[in-house]
Amino acid sequence: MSNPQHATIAEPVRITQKEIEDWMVKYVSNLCDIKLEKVSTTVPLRKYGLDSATAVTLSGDLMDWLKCDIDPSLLYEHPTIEKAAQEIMNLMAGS
Amino acid sequence: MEQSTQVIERSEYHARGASAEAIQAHYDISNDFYKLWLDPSMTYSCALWQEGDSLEVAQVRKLDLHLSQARAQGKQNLLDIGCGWGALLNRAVQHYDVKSAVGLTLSAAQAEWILDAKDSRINVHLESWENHVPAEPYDAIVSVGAFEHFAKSGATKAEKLAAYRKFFEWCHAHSTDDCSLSLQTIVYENYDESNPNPFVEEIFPESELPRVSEIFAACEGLFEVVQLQNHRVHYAKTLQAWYNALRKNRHAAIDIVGEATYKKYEKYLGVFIVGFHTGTVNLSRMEARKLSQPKVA
Repeated sequence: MSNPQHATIAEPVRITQKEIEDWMVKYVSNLCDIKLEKVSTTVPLRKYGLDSATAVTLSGDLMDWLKCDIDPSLLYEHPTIEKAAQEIMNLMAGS
Repeated sequence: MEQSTQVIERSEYHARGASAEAIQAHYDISNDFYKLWLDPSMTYSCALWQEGDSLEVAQVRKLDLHLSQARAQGKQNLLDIGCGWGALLNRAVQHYDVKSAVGLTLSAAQAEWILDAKDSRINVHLESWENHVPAEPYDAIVSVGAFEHFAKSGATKAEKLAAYRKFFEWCHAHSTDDCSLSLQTIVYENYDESNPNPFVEEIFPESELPRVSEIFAACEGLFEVVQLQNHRVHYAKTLQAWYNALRKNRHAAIDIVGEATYKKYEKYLGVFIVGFHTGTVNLSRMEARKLSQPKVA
């Protein structure tokens, strides 16, 4: 589903992959009560005990922040923070 | 023209499946709220998609599938069990030359909606199939998105099977020999019933989903299964369309139902998208033909 990264990132939100990753790390850290430095961007999120309802809430909050449409099943197709952030970058480049 | 659409008194209690109160908790929230994110026909069940379809077109395609599976063309007396806001009833009388179409629902808001359309060929009853006494047998039966409510949560496998069996017995007893049945329901697929998801219970109180094997077992000797299709990808796509529309209309939705209910629905649609995407649940569409002389009953 990902689009080639030919377009410039759509307004209004300009964002880097690192910023999305940091946002998600903070989110998971708060939600699961884990220290920031213990949240790895390359570990599947279910390892932190994220269930489907929280995964969906997370993607909803991401959408609100980034003002773009994200499939609520994002974290199932792209189960780590790094992969999810990469996919979002692809989506935003394509939209 | 005399208006023959009527609502019969609501049944006090729907013994085996979800109660009328439980159904209404979900479906009677507000027609205006559902209008914000369903398609204009207010079809609240999985659509049937083809490349390039809008939600509205995909919903009509779904209605046509069921009407053709139920062999509705030119039939005298069609029944829609769990008729929602009446989209299939309308389609049946307007495009399939069905003479009379009867809908059953436990939702007062849905029944009133259908009443407002004032179509003399369409009747709606606010009662469950268990309490419904038809004036004459049906020659086509459709049920879309109601079977999910026929067994209560926490029911044992035997109790579920008995409830489903009752349903097929009822359909068998109240139909003509040439009756076909078209059924659509969400089913458990890769799901562990011993570890239920509390969120699903909150959205669909008192309801328990069937498994395909239970549906097959329950209709054995009463209806012959002609075909079964599993369409979970279609449901993920339908839910995605609703989810996007609901989010786009967030402010209007919150004005109608408040923030808490809005959030609950946003989350529930999202969780179901995930469920269908991952195959925790599936969407089954089944065509069955009546066995007019069962060898075992």
